[in-house]
Amino acid sequence: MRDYIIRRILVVIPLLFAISLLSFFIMQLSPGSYLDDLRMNPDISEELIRKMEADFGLDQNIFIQYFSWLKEILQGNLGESFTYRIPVAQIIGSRLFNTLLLSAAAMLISWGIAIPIGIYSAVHRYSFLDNIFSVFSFIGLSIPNFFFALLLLFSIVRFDIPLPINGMTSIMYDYMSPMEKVIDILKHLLVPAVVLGTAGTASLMRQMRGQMLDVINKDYIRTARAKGLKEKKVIYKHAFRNAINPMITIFGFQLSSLFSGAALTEIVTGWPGLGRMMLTAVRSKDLYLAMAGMMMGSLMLIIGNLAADILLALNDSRIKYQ
Amino acid sequence: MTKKIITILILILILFIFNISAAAELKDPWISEKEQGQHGGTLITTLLGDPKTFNTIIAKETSSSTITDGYIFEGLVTRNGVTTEYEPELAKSWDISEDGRKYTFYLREGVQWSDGKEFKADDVIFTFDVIKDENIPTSSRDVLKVNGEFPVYKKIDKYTVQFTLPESFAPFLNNMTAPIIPKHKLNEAWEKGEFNNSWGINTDPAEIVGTGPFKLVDYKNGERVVMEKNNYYWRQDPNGKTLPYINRWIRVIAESQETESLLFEKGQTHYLSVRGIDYRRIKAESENNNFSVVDAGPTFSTNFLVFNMNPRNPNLEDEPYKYEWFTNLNFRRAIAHAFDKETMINQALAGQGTKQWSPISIANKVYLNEGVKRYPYNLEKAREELEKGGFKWNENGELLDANNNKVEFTMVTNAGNNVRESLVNIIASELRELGIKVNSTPIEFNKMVNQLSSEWNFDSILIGLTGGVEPHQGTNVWMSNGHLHMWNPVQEEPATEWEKRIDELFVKGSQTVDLEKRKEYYNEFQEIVAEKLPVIYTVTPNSLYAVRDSLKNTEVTAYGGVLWNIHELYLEN
Repeated sequence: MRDYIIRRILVVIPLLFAISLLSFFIMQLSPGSYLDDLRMNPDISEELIRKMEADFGLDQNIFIQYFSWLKEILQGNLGESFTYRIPVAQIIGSRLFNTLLLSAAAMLISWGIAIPIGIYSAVHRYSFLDNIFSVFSFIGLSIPNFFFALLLLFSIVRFDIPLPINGMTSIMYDYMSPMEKVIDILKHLLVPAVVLGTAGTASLMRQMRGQMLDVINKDYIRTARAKGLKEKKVIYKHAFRNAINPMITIFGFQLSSLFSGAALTEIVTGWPGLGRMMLTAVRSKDLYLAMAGMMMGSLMLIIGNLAADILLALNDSRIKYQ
Repeated sequence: MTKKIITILILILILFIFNISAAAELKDPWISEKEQGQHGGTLITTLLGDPKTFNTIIAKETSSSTITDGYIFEGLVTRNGVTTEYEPELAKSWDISEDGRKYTFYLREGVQWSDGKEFKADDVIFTFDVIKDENIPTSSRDVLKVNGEFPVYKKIDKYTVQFTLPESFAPFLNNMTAPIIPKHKLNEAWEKGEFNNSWGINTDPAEIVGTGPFKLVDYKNGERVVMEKNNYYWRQDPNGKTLPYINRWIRVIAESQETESLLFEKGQTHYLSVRGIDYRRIKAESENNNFSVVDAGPTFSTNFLVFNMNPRNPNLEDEPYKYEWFTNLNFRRAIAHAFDKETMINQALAGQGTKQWSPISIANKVYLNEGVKRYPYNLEKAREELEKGGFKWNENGELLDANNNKVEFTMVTNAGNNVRESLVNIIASELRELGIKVNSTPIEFNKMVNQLSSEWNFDSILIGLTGGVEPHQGTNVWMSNGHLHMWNPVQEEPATEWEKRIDELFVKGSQTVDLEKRKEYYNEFQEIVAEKLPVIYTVTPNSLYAVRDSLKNTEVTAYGGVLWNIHELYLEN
């Protein structure tokens, strides 16, 4: 097992290198640069733009640009943002916690709801409740996040529900006691977390249901039942443990979204996370900020996959890595 | 024991004296002529995006300057929010020499920075030293240059600064609205070459010091900017008390216009910039709510269609006839007659807009020429113009040019701008009536800029620019050597007679100080553009604001918005 993990980590290095190469070149070869916005400003002269181009090193050969970026990255320097003119690490750092909080809350909600309901639906297939859940999950699958968020916000305003509709803390936050601060953040967290959480719920629920159904009809379940085991034990010990494997893989993938944030939901609910900032960075071609975001996302995806593989081995003793 | 007490007393006395001598007496306060208001209260407004820097000299996005300029930092002169005329700000008055080359500014005596340090001529000199420094990426440097030369400036005494220009240059005063920054805070960073990284968004707010009505106290990334009253401000209420009335100003970062209006409707903010599509709903709500909706007239923004008349267009090798069409004046006039501006206003701007005919923004009260040639919506006229231009129709009603090429071209705009996208669709469907096939595609903004500024390979682009009061700000667009002279940029020699004339008018307009003379030159310029149609204007959205009734002393305009006289605004309990 340990050897396997070490080997996996070693593979990560060339992988990250390839990802960085690819994303850097795609960013740079797609038309336009950070300076285009400035070009459309009648007050800014060509001369100034050329000067800034040289300042940012954008006038150099793309390979030289890439390798100087790589050199800095290897020394732990993520570079400086064109837009903010301060180190990328500081910009990301100021928002990392917020994104983590939101994603974790959303994951908690989606997994917390999806798994029990998925199991229930599979065990009580075609029952009244199963049908109701199916209808809801189809609705959930088809409503876009941002629209659901707007709908929730609209109802809050319409029906005067005492919930905040924007941001992460209220205006009086700085004057609150620690306990009030926590409650304040939780109140603000509710809408975006519910939106993101329920969005994931629908598909997870269907996955879980499908997997359980697959397993429930297997011979060994019948054997377990024939042995006279309690139904609860049959479901949770035998069926669930076998059905959960693909879910663990999905979980690994989802881990990567912990940091990448959810731009649209963040924009609509005014949550100060990384998602929106990264979206703007990519669109305005703030090269090093966008690269840092992409590299972080890729790294999390790799780590998530690794974590999932390890969890799989822990859950299922049939899986062995050499 | 007594010794101790005496030393302490002496120390206190020294401190006291020192304090008095540091706090200069304000000799030239400005006194509000509006009704006396109540002091105190918290104003809450929204911002659409995070600031990128608090360093106003290098700031390039409005998301940054909207936080600093006018509120934290001020210029020597400013423009009145209603009349748009020049008004004294940090300079109490100024002289212009006979030949229009020497500008002498007399500063207000005893103005203090928000940290209590005195504002002096040295700060002004420092600001222009920084702007002049080639290592500082600021657009202020280029606009200040007259004929490629930076004006010579010097300190006459503690409260007097003089600028000498290489030649008479009227727009100079407009550039004196540039914000002044404190020498005592930034000199060290500038000398070390770290100015560009100073005052970023991670700076301690207490370090950011200005002369404006407010000072920064807190910035929470992605959430809000908190400002408090500058207790040393030089404007006073009718009773002689220091303005502004408002004690604290919280600017919530709303990220989207939807959230902005939800916040306002929930009663959490004091005003809202209303979008055309929200107008009816908000207006209806205002009837039984504590706010009113103000229509401040057309904004300074413009939207127009530009055809590629550049002989250097690389696509011309394959389709040389397109150059013939686009440079054909009758063709462009026909297109102008096909612009259904009524429908544009109703569909793209939800009824809240104004038709634009002249290259000067409709909101520009000083320079707008209302008498320029207009092209009312009339497809018959459009067909006549096309015939005059040598075009004809085949049996399927498709438009052909003199050499029987089918008239078909692309019309591009930037994706994500709903107003422009619907304008393109409206234009395309009208042109279909004329037998012209338009392939309309919204593309990524960056790509569009590339086509416009360096590749020159587009057919037509629908785009907009935001104007100001000073027409000279448009030199990069209107002079034939400008890089934003979109239909044929960076020309060595003006390609046509009328472009040559516009070049002359812009030079003359900038060299004349007399306002009436200047108006004549810019009037002629507007007539030429409307006559020759290098760009065809569409419609301009109106600026609509919903303002809560508790906010008093407001005078809402398209130029200054709600907050231009924030020092005079007060909140009624």
